[in-house]
Amino acid sequence: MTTDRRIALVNLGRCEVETFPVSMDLEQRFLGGSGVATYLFCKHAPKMVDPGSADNLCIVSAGYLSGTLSAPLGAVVLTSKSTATGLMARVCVDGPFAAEMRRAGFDHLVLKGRAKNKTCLLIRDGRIEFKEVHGLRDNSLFDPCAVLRKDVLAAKNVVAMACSGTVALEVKDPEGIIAYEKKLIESIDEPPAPNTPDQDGQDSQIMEGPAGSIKLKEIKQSIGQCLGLGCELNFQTAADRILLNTGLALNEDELKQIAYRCIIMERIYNIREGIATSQGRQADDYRENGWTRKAVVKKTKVFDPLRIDDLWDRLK
Amino acid sequence: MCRTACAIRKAGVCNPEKSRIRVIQMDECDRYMPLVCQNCEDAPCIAACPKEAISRIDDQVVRTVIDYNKCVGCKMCLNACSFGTIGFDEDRGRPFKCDLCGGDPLCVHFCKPGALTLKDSAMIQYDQARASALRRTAGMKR
Repeated sequence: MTTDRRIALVNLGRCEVETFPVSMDLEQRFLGGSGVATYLFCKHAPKMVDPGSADNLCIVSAGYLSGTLSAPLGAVVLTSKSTATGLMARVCVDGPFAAEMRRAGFDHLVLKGRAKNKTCLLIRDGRIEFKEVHGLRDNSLFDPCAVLRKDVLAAKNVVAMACSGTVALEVKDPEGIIAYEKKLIESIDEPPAPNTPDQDGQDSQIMEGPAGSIKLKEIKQSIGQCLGLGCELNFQTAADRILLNTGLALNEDELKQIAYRCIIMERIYNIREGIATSQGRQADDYRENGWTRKAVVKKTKVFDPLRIDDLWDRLK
Repeated sequence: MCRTACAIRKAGVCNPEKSRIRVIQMDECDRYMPLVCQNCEDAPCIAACPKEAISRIDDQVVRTVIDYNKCVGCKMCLNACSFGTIGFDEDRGRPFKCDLCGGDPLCVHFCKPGALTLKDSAMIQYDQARASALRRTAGMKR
């Protein structure tokens, strides 16, 4: 079963585009945004790829709720292997790009290869055009909001990306989401409720899973990035917004599991790419928490229960 | 948010193209200009409609509305509108315009900075006069 969300595999070297829908299974396991991006990166990125080479991938993802009333703009998430650390890196860019990308017909763009000349991608109503550009400077061609930072995509010879479209995004419960968001907006003026001791301590709580523990704060951030909100939000608000906008019913535990799954995928990828031997804060963090190849890369104990067994061949 | 909310209520989808409110980005002065139907006293769209499908009504607020039983989608009203605030739904083949949500516009609720408000047209001149007087006396002391 599929949804109306689409992924485009863009081969810049050959100027080819292959599109396929986001399956319902993918949506339920990773929602969208950084979740699906992490999965696509693990699935399509070559092993031990040189981050500065043309083989490295750059994935541009709109959040699961981008363009809806819950996130009218929504942050766009860029996922790639960092040239600085050699690990999976992610950057959230605010502005209307994510919403426009969804209206242009795509939720995720997987950019492969390297364009021969400096290229601009025009994404319009389900079509992607490659335009060679000469003499283009950073943020000088289109609306600054529609242009992603040049340095992120420079390795691919992509100078700019512009989206426009009129694809209507379906809303499951139009009046329900209007009433819900209206109430949230009205509550902004209300004085904040004093934090209870439970709320204060919540961020330091940890979530245990088959591949080790993760801070709840990190889980919340991950859900925000999957939804394209770029910020932390409580699980009930996230679940309500997802249900009213898309009809996908998820409870708090299911949301936590999705976030946990996405974070673990990234860790496994980083471990495979050699973080254990890397220097730096992130490597220390991995060592201190026992996230080693021996502990995490296990099919029956980690991949199967986390429902990422289809990545076993890629990540083992 | 105003455009998305409007599109959801009026068309049931997230598509600002179907919103009854338009927001024009004015690069020259770095401002955004929201535009909605001005509900003109002598509305050109009413005069232009060959089927008399547009009329001016006064229930909770005075406004011009389209009778879709009479409208044939000829787009004459789009051409006649001086403000460009009448849109056209290609899927339905009919024009659409702001009807002030029956007197309680949704866009006003979703404009948190308060840039949008609904005012009685008779009161606009007094508010403008007061704002002008405040500007002129800003430097004066009692």
